[in-house]
Amino acid sequence: MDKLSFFRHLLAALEGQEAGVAATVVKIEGDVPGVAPGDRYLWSTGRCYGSLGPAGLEAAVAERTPEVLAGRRPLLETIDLEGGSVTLFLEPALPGPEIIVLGGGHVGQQVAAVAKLAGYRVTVIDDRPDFANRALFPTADRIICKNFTAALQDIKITPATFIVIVTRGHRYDYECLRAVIASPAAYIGMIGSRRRVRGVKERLVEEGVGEDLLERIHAPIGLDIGAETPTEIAVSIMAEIIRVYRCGA
Amino acid sequence: MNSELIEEAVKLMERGEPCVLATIIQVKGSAPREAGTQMLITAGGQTLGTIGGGCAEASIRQRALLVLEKGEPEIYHLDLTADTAADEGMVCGGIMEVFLEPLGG
Repeated sequence: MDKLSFFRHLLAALEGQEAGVAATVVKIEGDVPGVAPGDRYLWSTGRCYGSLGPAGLEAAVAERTPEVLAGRRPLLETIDLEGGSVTLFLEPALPGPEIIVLGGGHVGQQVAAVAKLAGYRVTVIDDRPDFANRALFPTADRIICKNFTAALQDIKITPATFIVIVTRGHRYDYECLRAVIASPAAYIGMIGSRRRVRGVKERLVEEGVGEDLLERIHAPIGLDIGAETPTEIAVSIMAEIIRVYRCGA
Repeated sequence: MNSELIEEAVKLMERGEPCVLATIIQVKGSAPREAGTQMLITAGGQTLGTIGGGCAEASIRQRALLVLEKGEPEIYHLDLTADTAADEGMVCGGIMEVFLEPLGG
């Protein structure tokens, strides 16, 4: 199979929010027929896509894909086969991280800007046309002007989604939080004083939301760096998100 | 994996413009970027993405153009611990293995 169709397939997998492992043959020692440096395979949803190499190669790679996906780190592996060995570079093909900014106010605007700067995909949601617009969010990938709950229903939330709740009032914070609390998002952060946060959480408990779910919420939001201005707060939120993304905590 | 980079590679291939995908496959010691970092180099020498900056990137770019001419992928061994690196004022040191893969054309 040619490189172009492979890369088209890889791109579709990346954009389709499907987790996979891309394998590239980088070195061959000895005489292993049926394989050449630069050969590529993609494992996604348990299937192998790409030119099938010599017997035993596919199985050996399939065995290692869970480790690559779990660790989100590439692996350089030399696999011994009849006649020699094949060295493969296995890399996780995971959807890129996306930040959903709920609320287009001062903090939301700065979070969107800093998140984009850090290379994240950015979606902004606000129900007010005066706030959900291109002039205020020149770099955002998506701007959705809709009622929060309705907008969140249309969005696919995955383990690569980071949710930042910075709406204009606790009523909206509560709506947003209720809509995303049981989602597989990697991060849910909510702005607000301890009192405001407590109020929102208590209401959710009354509704029957489990304590374990509430514990996932990062509130007060952001790392404590004494941030005061909207931009400083955005930096502290992004610092927290980067920590979760890179260190898992 | 950076989908923007892959998207650009697909675009270049569709237009019939050859390019090279450089991927750091192994690092030893203190290198500027970790394994898995990628950069795209066009036949015109333009780059997209960064795998370290400075001299490392310049020599990878140069090597990539040779790979493009040759049409065969290779592992490029980059030693940043050498004296030349220090002479150039590079801060990192360390060794990088970079897989250079010609695409399309």
